[in-house]
Amino acid sequence: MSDTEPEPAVALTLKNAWHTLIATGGLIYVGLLALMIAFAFASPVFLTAENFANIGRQTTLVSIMAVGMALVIINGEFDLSVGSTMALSGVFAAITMKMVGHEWIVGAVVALATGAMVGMVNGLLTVKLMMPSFLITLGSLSIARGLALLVTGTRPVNILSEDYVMIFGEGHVVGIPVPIVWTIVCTIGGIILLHFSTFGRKIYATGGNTTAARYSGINTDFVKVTTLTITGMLAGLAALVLTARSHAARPDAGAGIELDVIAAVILGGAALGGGTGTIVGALVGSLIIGVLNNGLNLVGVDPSLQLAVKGLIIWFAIALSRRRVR
Amino acid sequence: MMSGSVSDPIGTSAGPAEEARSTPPLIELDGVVKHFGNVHALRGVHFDLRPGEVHALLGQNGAGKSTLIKIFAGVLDKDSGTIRIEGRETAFKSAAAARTAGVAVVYQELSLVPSMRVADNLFLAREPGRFGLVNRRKLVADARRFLEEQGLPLNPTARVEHLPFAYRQLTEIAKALSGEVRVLVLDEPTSSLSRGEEEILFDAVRKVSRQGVGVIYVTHRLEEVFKLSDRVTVLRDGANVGTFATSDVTMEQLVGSIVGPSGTGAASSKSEDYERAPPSETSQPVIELVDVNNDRLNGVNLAVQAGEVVGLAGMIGSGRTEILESIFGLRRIASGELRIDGENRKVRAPIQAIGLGAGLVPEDRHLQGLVLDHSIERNVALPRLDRLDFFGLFRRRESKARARAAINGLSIVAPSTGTRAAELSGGNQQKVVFGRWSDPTPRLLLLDEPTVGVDVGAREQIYEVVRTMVANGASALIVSSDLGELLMLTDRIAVVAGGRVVDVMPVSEIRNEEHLHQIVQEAQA
Repeated sequence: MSDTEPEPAVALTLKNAWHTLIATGGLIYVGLLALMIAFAFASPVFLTAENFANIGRQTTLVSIMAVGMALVIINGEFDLSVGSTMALSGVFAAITMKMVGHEWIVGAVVALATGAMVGMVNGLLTVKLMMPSFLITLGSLSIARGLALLVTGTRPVNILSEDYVMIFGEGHVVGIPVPIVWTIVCTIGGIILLHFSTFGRKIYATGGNTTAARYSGINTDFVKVTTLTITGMLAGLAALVLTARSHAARPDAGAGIELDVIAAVILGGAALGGGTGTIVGALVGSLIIGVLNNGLNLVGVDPSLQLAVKGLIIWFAIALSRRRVR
Repeated sequence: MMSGSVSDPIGTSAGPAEEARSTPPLIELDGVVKHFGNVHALRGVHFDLRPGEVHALLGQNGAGKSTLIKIFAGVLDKDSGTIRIEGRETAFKSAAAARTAGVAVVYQELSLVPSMRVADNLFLAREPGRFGLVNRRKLVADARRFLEEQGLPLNPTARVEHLPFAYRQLTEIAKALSGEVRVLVLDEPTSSLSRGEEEILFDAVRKVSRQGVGVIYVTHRLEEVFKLSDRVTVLRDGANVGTFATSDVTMEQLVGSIVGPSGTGAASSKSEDYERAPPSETSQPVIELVDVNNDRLNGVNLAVQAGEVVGLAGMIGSGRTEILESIFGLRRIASGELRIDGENRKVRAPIQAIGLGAGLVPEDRHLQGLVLDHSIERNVALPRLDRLDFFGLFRRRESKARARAAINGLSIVAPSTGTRAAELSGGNQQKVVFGRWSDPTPRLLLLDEPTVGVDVGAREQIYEVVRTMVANGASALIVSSDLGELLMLTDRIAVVAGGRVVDVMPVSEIRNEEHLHQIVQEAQA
């Protein structure tokens, strides 16, 4: 431990490049590229602009929530409840809009507030009970879903506000579909928060070593509650996009999507233990998940087989990306 | 390639003693070379160990000690040179091979399962029993018998996580000894022990060596070398400086050979060498604890004057660390007053303590001090994040400049501010922890074991940093198990026992380390 042992010098440049790629986490970009090339050969439709817009739209939910999940995982915590939170936020938004005359702003505020509230409860329980957020959010995963089913009587709630649909689902800003615009907004916000703000430093430090952060005067409990709240709020934003696109809020929406979100963040290079990871990595991770879902469909893989193939590819990608740890 | 011993500045190289010729050494290394890329970690090292001998291995961080130990352990393979075990040439290809040859290594990082009992740890993966079922009674009985044989004062049914650090270390040693062991390698076993606990460990080492086991003892604490070892080998820059019989060498000579001709060689500087105005008697205390109580403290009374350095001497568990933690807002104060500049303050969180001008260098830099995976820059910025904030955004350039200033000011050996803390040696890691507090300097430094596991050179530099901060007007409260260090750095010493300050005396009233040790011992009773 007292001697520093430098890495052996690597003579081969190819090997060198490989090491750099692994060390910098650049492998994921290569992975994304490789997947796209493979699908491009396998399906004539894959490389079309229309399909790319498709992928973009299908990925937005995972991408938006992956930004939040990246904050939480880098913070050393975990949120299993994002899928249920998204469903609950959408349902609450649709119901309240129905009550107050289909005002889009009411829906927007309610969805974000619902998400933030679930996130904050997750956070407060985690730090007050000193329990792993993995377990706390395992509970809220169930509770939020149950509430959503209860208040709707398990039936979808229609959304009649045209503004709402345009702002979150079907409109365009300078030719870009709004779901993608919202993803970009979240990504930029996440990058500023995590990589440029002082609070971002606190997120990294708390995730890297909670005790050391505490001993350095960081209010680690506050940091944890805040990141979990932000993640909940982003689940609320994802709910807006989802419900606007389908003109209805379904209480069973987004079941299991948390696994895609977590996979995206881990693929993007975040360590499960916290302390490392990037927003861009999480975004690329979610694109990989999106390209996989889309490509396997286009190639005509049996839907039942798709899940298994996706899992295998995630294993493979994680094995490669974990190589740099130790 | 250099081989054998390099020039010996002291001229007391003992060489292989004559009587040892008849029986071959337990282990003998000749011309051992190890590279990592372009770095020569070992440049032809010679080393030999006789049965029943305690052989100290010294050198600064980076001298090659750890590499050598890893070669003994079979974790690393040498590039060239020979290793002979009892005269037979051997190649350690794996840790298992080293273990089979009778070499056991006790690392600094403990390899115990904290949630299990001592006995479970001793027999881990080789529990007595049948058909995959563990005979729990026999397990404990075997462990008890073994511990008695070895003379180790351990309770086999105690859970490791509940043991004081010294006893965990003993458990580790017991575990290492529980096979056929002829060579025991101890890597800085006392780095976190207090004086009383050290003695427990020394006794264990003496017992083990009396049974014919050769002990290789790596340490940064030179007094231990004289207390315990028969011979000393000093490494510098991956080469032998020399091997000496301990009785033939003085402390100054050892320091000289460790640091080398170009080194600071300042280890002899004592408090009388450095001058500063004595703290004025009339000034208001910077901090004053009045009858402070909580779960670990029983009515602590203590005051630190402006510009004063006060040492807290006591055993581990006496409450000395808890005093610092209570001041720093890490431990709630149940009753009593914490007065800062004469004003009663409720400090509920470290951020408040930092705001009031306190700075803590915690006991365990890995656990409490650093985010090992993060860069020097990030680590140096940690307690000052709010000062580096500009309307929510983090001032990166400012932070980098601060980190660079810390690297220069504290002579931290690192390629850049972006180097991960985990890649630094212990001494440099500790300097990073100090570097956080260098700008601005806190008014009250709380230092908990400031030089644990730090080599001689870095230790001197850390002392220098503390003195500079104090010269610039800071006060300090220092906890250390190294009583010599306390005597050297402080103006007054508060003796802590049972969660209370039982006595406070000026350093001038203490004759020497032994005297202070005695005072601490008596305070426990």
